[in-house]
Amino acid sequence: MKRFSATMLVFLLFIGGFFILNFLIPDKAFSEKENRYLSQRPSLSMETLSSGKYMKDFEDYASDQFPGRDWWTGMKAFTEELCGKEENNGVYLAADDTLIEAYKKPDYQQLDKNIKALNTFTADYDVPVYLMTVPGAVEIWREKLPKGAPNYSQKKLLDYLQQNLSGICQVDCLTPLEEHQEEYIFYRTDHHWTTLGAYYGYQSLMDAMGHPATIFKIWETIPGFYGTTQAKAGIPFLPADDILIMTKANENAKISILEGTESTDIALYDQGALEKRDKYALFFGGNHSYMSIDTGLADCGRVLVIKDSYANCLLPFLMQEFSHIDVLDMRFFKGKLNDYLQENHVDSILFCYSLAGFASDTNLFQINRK
Amino acid sequence: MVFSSILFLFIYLPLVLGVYYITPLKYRNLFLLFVNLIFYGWGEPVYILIMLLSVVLNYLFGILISRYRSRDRLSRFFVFASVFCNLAILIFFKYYDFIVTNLTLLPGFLDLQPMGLALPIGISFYTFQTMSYTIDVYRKDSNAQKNLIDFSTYVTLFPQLIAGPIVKYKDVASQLGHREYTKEQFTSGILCFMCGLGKKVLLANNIGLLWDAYAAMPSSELSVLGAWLGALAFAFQIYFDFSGYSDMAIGLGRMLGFQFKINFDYPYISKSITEFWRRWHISLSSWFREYVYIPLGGNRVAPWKIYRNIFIVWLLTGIWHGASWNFFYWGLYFAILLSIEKAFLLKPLARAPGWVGHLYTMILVVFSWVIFAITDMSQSLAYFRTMIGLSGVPFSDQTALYYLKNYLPALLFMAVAATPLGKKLWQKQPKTRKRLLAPIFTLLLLILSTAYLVSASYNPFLYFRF
Repeated sequence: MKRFSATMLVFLLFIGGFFILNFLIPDKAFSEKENRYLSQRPSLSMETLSSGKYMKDFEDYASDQFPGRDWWTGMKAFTEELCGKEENNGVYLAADDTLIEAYKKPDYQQLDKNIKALNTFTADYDVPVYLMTVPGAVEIWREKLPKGAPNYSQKKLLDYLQQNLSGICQVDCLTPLEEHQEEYIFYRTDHHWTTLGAYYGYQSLMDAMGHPATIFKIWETIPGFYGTTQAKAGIPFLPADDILIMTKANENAKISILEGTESTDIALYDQGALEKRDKYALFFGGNHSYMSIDTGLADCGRVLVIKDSYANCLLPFLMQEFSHIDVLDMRFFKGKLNDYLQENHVDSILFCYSLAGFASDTNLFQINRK
Repeated sequence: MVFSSILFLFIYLPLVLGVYYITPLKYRNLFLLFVNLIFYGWGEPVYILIMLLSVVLNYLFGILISRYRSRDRLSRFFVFASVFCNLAILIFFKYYDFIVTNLTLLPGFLDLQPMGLALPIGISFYTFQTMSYTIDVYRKDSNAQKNLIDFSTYVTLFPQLIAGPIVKYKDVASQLGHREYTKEQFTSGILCFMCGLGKKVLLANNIGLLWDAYAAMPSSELSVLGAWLGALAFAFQIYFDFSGYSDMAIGLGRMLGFQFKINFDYPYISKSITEFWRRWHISLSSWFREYVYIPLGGNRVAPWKIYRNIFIVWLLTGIWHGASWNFFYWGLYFAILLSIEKAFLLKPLARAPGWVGHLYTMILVVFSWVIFAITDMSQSLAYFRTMIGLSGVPFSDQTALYYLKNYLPALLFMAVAATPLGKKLWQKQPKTRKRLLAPIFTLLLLILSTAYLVSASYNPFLYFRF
């Protein structure tokens, strides 16, 4: 050991050790914490070598498959927190152990496209069309954000929608959420609203539709949920969220989804999701391209819901109001909406999105495909 | 490939070090050449041919200059040919589009089209290295390197190929044939490398986020305090980024048995712009002094020629940094300041209390970075006006206070890290304590740097335009 100083030993063992570990530890396919597929070993060919693609892919691969990746990303987040930083990776560390993703100015070109798509759609159909664009915690809980934290105002966005949409009934979600802002209406570690938040949204929707709203109470609390913002910020040691259940699963209801041409029955609450990291998928098992819900209620009408994941915890409330609900997610639904509406008579159509999601959605234009 | 990446630290480097030290001494240059080419080719799989062409050409020129040394006109022809070829390659790949875009503003050149060529990595560095070789051979400061392997290894040496320091051939000529390998040198190389890695990954990349936020802000949303925060952030980013990279290059060199000269000597403690340029990017200013300033007569000519020489050198230094007008103006800015200092300002500065010189230099340097960082001149002028309070925005706003609160600890730490305080404290320690602290420091920096690298999506190297 005389040939090596202590420093040399530390350095060489560290880089040499991880070099060996890199090869010993098998590659992971999916990262639960980051909720994405991890890069795999790229294929070698003259083309990929000469274009440099192989090199870039290999670097992504080396980084993604680094041993203990989740531990390292947590370490960085923790260090940032120690240094007094109020934001990590685009997520603000807000008051009350809340993580809120920073909202950047949206692409107004995309927003205008979506507004235009909606206006065209509404003009084409005779049934009443409702729009719920739900503002996020970044707007409702702005008092919790670090002082002066740069943010784009979602209220500005709502006003813009108000001015530019026509013929569609815009359900006011801002007012009820602001009224109840002291309550647990958003998750602290996830970008979705809680079931309680969705309940207040449901009340506002029923108001707009002219239905009386049913009263629901919190029936069950499922603890231990760490969501998307916690994964993005990577901050460890935060208190977990609870998932609230406010509607009991209805025995008479039949929910089925379409995978390709196969129709499968699913449950309202997917208990399997509770075993995984993304517990929000408890509601219907996540997002599906097409879901058909037969509630067993008689003469209550039929509604078509076009949505992003924000609607998932709203739908159980709607199941108490309608006989039949058709649910489409335009990110995955590849059929022609126009054909569907010709074949099936619906009484009303609801677009339910998070406000941020609506502004940046690139699939909305497909609702007008003929 | 960049040093501050998982691939380099945990795959390339351990492999290279491992094989290097089991390779018999006489084959080490060959092995190095092989891994150098992999390092460069990894980032430039096609343009590597240009570098190889440059190597072969300059090797031949070196031999020709040396063979025809007795026939001065012939050897002078070869050195001019070598400089011409090197500059031709550099100008074509780096400046063609810039030249064409500006020429098209003139009548008669309207049809010229820019080619959209990508800039080969490191071309500004390796062409300057090879030029220094042939000029040194001509001036008899070095013998020609007859061994093509050894010469190629010198030009392509991966520690400094991509981003310097610009190593003159005569400074490493003997080390190509014979290198010392001691554990003291290797250890010192590790510590140097770790300092550089920490500077890049923990300091530069982080403060760079603050500059990015301000660079993206429309000028109506700025505040005076905010503009200064942004400019200061860039000043720190470019210093820690570039000096960090140089530290890593020097550290790696030492691990391989090479001794390179330092490239940064705490430039931000300078008390004059003249002193600043003796401490910043030393290998570049040294290259221009040796191969442009002194051949033009340096200081030993009529006063008006001295100032002419200063302007020529600094305009060239400016545009070396990039093919756009703001770099030209950046060079011009320094040419003017250096001339003023040389004419009459240096003596009063030396006599004034130290803080005057420090403040004067820091403010002028921070202003210079605004010109450097913003390509569009009208934008940088607007930013400037905000900094000096002439653009009607408030002194401070919520956003500036937010950034100040979040980055103050980092800014204070970096201000101290930019001084030799750390180095002095280290040198005062007894040997036994150093022997304990060095491995702890290394381990701590390895852990933190790895954490930040794995988490990174943001890891640009600013001087990559070169």
